[in-house]
Amino acid sequence: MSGVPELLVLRLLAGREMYGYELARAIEVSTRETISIGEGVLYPALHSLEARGLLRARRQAVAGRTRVYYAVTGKGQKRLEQLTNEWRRIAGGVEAVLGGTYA
Amino acid sequence: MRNDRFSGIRERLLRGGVSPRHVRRTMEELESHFADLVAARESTGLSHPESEALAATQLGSDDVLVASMLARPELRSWSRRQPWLAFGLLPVLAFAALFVLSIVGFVASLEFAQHSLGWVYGRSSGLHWVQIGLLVSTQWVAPLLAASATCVLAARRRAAIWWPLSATIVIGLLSAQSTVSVDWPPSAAHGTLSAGLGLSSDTLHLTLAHAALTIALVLIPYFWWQRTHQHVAAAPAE
Repeated sequence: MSGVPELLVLRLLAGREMYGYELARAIEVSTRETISIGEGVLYPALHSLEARGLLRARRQAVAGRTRVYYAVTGKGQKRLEQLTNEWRRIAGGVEAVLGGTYA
Repeated sequence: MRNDRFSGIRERLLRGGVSPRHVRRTMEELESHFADLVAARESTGLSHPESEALAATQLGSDDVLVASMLARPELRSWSRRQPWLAFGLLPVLAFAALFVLSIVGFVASLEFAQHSLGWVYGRSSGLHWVQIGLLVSTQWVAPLLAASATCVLAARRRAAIWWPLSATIVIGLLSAQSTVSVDWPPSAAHGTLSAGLGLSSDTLHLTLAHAALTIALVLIPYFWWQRTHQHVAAAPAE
């Protein structure tokens, strides 16, 4: 399952920029609550993706609080395509086994 | 007290070598996220304490968050990745640069005094003060600034104590051995300035006293800060 959080984050942020809380809600809704994470660990993942140049961050003050919005960079877009292809290949393989086309 | 809620995480991340920039931003994001979660729970009719308890659960445990942050080397500060550079080479280079800048400033001041103010060697008392300024700057200001900056860097990044300690001792010894002398006419045909490093057995006690005073002036406030900060960090969050 390694790479799944990265894939989800990149996919959701490719649609539009979001801040952490918004992204956590988007994960909750888009995965129909099948993926549950401690929402705090989103931030190490987001910072790591930014440090690797896959995301860019911008600060915005909203109602006295600072929100950091994240968006996917060009490099992040390429990484998203790569992860999506890998995921489809793996999911297809597992589906083939579960669906009985193996044997 | 939202700041207190995450102060334990902040300290653990800094001690773990995470860059202060990432730590600061993570704290802001966690506080904002927590406030959003509490507000969302309260909007469903839950009390504030109930909302806070649920929000804390939803955010996840401190241990998991800290472990997740520490597991990512790309979030480490440069000084943690290359401490020999941050606390070994850079302090010495900073001292050398400040030393040279002091000399450049001295020469520039003399040029200005001679050409714009009409001061003359041996006749203008102001030149004496410029010379004292050079000595104070090279012997005290430069080493104290370089060593203090190293200690501030180490304190901010919670570096192991022996890094700023060793850097300060090296700078203290170097500054105590550094020499700057200026000769004015008529004792010299032209004004001459010489600078370098030297150790004389005749003045060894003075050199050691100079080094000890430099080291003490930097390390006493640093250790005081360390002691105070450890008490603050160890205090339970309200």
